Amino acid sequence: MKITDTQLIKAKERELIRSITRDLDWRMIRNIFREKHQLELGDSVTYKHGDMVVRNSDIAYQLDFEVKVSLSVILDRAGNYLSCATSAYVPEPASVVEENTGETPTSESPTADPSLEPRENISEMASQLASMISEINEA
Amino acid sequence: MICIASQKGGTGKTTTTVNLSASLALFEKRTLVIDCDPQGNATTGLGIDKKKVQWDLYDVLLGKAPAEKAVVSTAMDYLNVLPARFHLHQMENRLASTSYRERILRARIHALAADYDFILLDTPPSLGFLTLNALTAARWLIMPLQCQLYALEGLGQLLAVVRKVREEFNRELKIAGVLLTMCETKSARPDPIMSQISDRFQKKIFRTTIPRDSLIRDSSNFSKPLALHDILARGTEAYMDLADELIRLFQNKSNLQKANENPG
Repeated sequence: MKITDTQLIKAKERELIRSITRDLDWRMIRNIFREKHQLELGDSVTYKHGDMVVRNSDIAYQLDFEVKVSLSVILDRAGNYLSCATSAYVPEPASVVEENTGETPTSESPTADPSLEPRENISEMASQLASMISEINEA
Repeated sequence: MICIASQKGGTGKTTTTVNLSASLALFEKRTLVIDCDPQGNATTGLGIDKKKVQWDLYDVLLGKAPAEKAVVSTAMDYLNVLPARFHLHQMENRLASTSYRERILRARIHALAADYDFILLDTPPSLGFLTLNALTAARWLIMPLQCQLYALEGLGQLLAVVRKVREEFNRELKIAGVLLTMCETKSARPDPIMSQISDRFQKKIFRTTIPRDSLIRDSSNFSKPLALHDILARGTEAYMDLADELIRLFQNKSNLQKANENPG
């Protein structure tokens, strides 16, 4: 049982999304993007799609743009920024394989001392590891 | 967001991810598993047929699909999974020349956090690109540990990487705890290695230990969490205890944080 016109609702929702999009503070979005993702937005920004979504059990607005990367900005009904997600340029595998260093950060870590008795070894290593965990969690 | 990592294979990372996530779901916590291991064992272990999956983590990291579209439901209410398939192993090469390669997972799954109480990241048995990404995305780390000397060396290497990740990519990463797995709990005599580790680690270790239980292996053969295979198994009870411990741990931390924020 319809109580109003579906097309009217859709048209008004589109209009709402359009007016939110028009009034976005792009300087702020560029800053957020730079700080959160270490990426600079280019000048070519094209509006792709906008939709109403649910975040934290409340209505929010998701606006998708096409730039050098894709960017989804989510804001709440009060106009406050909630989050953004990106899709960035990814090089083709052939062009990057030789550049892959496979580098993994390493630093000093406790190792077993073969000259010690197993019990002593485990005790010593466990103490050092416990200190490392404390240092990480209390930093 | 909790990363479950260990450099060593066979320590119970995936088993813990699958069974802990199922237990959290049984506590009616909205839980998501993100499978960061190209072997995709957590995906299979949660009953997902990889052939029928439309999108997976590889597609999400490449930006071909938004994370929320790649998430699939499991047989359990409250439990979803972002699956992985073997082509995920190509990811490191594909992103090798990008400056933000360690942060790409964090950026892609950021928007999912609001929809879940717990997000568990299962990692491959190495300290490579995918594990670094998982550590950079996570707030907490659980380190499964078998009671043996070699495992302690592996734990040290993982902690060294955690220090580096904190310095370079993720200041917020902390250790939720060490989880002792495959413990011989049937023996009348307590395992001396386990006792020493427990003594030294004190509060850095989970009170719950995971017993060696053949039913856990059996349940993985049926591609389902142990709780759905045998709710009365010792392993099920252990993972339910662990879920309960984890929920309480974060409730306490949350309460503490609130108290610190509002001292009056």
